[in-house]
Amino acid sequence: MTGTATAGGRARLLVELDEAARVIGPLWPLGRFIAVNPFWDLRQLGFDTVLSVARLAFGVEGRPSPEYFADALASGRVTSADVERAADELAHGAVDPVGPTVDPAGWCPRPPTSAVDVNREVAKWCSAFLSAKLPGAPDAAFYPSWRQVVRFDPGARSLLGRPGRALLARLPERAEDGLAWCLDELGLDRDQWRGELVSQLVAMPGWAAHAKWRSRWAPPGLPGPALDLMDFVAVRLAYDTVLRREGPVGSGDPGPVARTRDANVHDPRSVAGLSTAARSSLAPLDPDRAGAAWLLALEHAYRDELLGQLAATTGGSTPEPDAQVVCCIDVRSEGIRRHLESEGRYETFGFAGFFGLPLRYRGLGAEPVDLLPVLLSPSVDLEEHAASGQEALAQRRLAGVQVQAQGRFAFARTREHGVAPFMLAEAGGFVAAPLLAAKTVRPARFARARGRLWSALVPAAPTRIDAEPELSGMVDEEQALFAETALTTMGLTAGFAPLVVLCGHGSTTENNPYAASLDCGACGGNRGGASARAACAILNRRSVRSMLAGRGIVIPDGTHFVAAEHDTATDAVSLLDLHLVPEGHHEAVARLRDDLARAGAALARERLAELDPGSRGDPVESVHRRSADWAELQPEWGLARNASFIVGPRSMTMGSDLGRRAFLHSYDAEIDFDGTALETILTAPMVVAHWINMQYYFSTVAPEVFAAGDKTVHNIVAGCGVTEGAGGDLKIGLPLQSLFVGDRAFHEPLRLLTVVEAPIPRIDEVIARNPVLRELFGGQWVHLAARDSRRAPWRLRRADGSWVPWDPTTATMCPPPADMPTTRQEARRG
Amino acid sequence: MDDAWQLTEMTKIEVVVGGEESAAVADLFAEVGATGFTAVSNVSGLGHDGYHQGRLLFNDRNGLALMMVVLPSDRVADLLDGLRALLASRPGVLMVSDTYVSRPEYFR
Repeated sequence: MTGTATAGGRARLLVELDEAARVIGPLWPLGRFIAVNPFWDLRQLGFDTVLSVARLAFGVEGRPSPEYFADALASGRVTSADVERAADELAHGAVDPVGPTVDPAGWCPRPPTSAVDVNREVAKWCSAFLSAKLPGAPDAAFYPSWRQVVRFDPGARSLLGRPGRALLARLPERAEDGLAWCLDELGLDRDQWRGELVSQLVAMPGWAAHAKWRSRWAPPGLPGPALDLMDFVAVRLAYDTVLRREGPVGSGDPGPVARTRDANVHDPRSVAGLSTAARSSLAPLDPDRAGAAWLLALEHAYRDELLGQLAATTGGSTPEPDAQVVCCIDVRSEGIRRHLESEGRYETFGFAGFFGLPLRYRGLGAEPVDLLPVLLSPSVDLEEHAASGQEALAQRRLAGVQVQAQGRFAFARTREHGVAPFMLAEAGGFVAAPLLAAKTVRPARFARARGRLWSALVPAAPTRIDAEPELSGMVDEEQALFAETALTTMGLTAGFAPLVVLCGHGSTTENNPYAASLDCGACGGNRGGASARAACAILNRRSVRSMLAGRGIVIPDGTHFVAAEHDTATDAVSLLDLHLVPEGHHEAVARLRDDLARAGAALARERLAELDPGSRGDPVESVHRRSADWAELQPEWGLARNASFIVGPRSMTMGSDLGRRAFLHSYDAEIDFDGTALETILTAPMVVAHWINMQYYFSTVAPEVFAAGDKTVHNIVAGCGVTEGAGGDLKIGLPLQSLFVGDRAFHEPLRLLTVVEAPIPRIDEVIARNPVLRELFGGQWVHLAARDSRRAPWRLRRADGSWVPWDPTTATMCPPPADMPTTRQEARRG
Repeated sequence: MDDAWQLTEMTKIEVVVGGEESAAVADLFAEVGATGFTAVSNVSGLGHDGYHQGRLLFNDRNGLALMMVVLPSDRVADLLDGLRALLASRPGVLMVSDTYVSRPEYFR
């Protein structure tokens, strides 16, 4: 049967699918988990409109609940005055986003089809395909592989009946043609295609997100079975079409209904404890706008506290520091920087953890890995080699790695074949059981013993990352350009200390499918140590330094760059490649090591108060135990409570405790004449911070769809995602234990506040020439506050681009009830 | 145009779109049977929604791309159908012109 879809060309169909897929955000595989804004491809509509689309498409409320607001009011995080002011701003249209007026219903004209049976069948095939179990694996596409085997599937027969299953098997060969056939079968004309495709995608947001990643974000040529978006939708629509045509043979269970909050029962306008004035300001708003007012109020309260803190910061600098330490912008770095600065004469900087090097890195005996933000493609290839004179040791290490890898491979193979797993369990149990007991009862000690065994089998060999042009393929000019960019962007172009530390970060946890979510996002969800080592190798080269001197950046001969890695689970900071440190710096390095250990211990104590309030043990031992314990569900809080992105020199924030809630990016307006550095910072690191902020936000306010559920019942599927329990859709977002303590949200869902110290006309220029910034600031995804210079007053940018002064006198905070700590300082004291 | 030059008439289609769309456009080209295309990334320009900066240092996806494809005229209608739909909701421009190529078999 030919209808408009099959008769016409497929180009239009491809575009409609692409449009429909804008409601889905990409889902990276577990090993490279990246926090994303799930609505990144709809950002052009503006935050408020997107929340309306989310309500229609996913049945979720995109703002915190009235109960949450009530709790915030009761605990003093927000005041009635804040709510009153926010409601007035909204009522007078002062904060309406700029952008096209769009009808949200155009995005999701009909409720999602959520037949549980169809989801189960499709999910089954998706995981089978990705586990390379379908014919033609790993090169064949999903739809053709599925089409070949579905004719034999008892599941399809019980769901659709024999005729239904036979129909599936007779579908056209290509996915595009199959999709076209289904759309015609359903009698849809072209204007209705997109709505139908949206319904299919939002019915299974997890697998759809994986397919979106594969089709639109994964590097081309990535090996392994590719679950393409077109194929995925074609398969799901095929089941759905046949079901709607033939009528259900299975349970006919329509699936979970949309979970919209009943606005009549829980109305944000009638939250208990509000002042009369606030209540009357909220009254003229509808419940949706009232929710928006509450969220704004919470965000303003945080903004007022932060700007007040910064205005009161006398700052200061560290003249002639013993060492300069460059950390990632990650919020957890704020902690280590603060503690290290109090240990000695250290000047710290913030810069994206990949240090500006778009690196594909090959460790000794390892596969290449891309260590850069997902917004970039790698353009530099570097490898790890044995340090000179250490080739024999490196060979031993390599041999050990290979033996270990072979053992792992054999174990994995055995688990898959026939009765072998049972035999393996029988034989291996005698060894595995005592090991498991040891691991459970004494996790830290077990980890240390395992570490010693590993070192014996795979000895540590001093290695280096060689940046010589002949070995690296990166010519001197390229290296000098990279160095100049990195140093200029962070404002370190003069006054170099004898020791400059480039400090990446990673997190060591046990039995954690979400381990990559705790690693460095700027390094693509990997540990940042290798990036730091590569950057140091380049910056230590004589030829690079002489070229830099030609460009006005003079690095003295006595300055050595050394790499380090901060383990955010244990707060241990390891200095790397110590065998490359020249003799004259050994004493300084030893002092630095001691200071880092003390700073790490102090930070561990600070973090333990949140992880395990009331804990009495030694903080360092406690965090090590948490890191090694395979039963630990909350080894560290990651980037929970992230709230702001501060761009400016360290003197702006030094001495202030920002509670590990701020991304800190160093910037010096005085050396950035054309605004390039500011533009670089806002269009890349800030976008990454926005993604993290939005991931935490949506996972917290709408966990039923945008959070990954309970870690204790997670099952890993095909190495790329998790399901809760056995089978079903993949989970997207962060697990509950990363966000909540019991029922209470630990993360505070606020939109990111960007704070910049730079001439405001320059900020406006940068925004004017970058659509992504117009979308983020104008669309109310990210708030912006700025001041021209240290002494200038703070100003706030409205969505329409105008600036208004920040008025500290109206920023009042009622004193909280006497027994309730509202700030970290008080929680520590109390 | 001189017959002595022995050129074959075809249609050239040029699209300027956001970098994020270039993968989708490339898929469209492939779908209609184009044998290849050319992409110039990180172009700058002025549009109805404002100015677009060219190259961003740490972001490959939010720049602007110019994509060009040459097709025999009979395949153009399908491609235009798709591109029109794409540009209905995203900023960008589409330009169609006649062009002449020396190796027609290359493009079929």
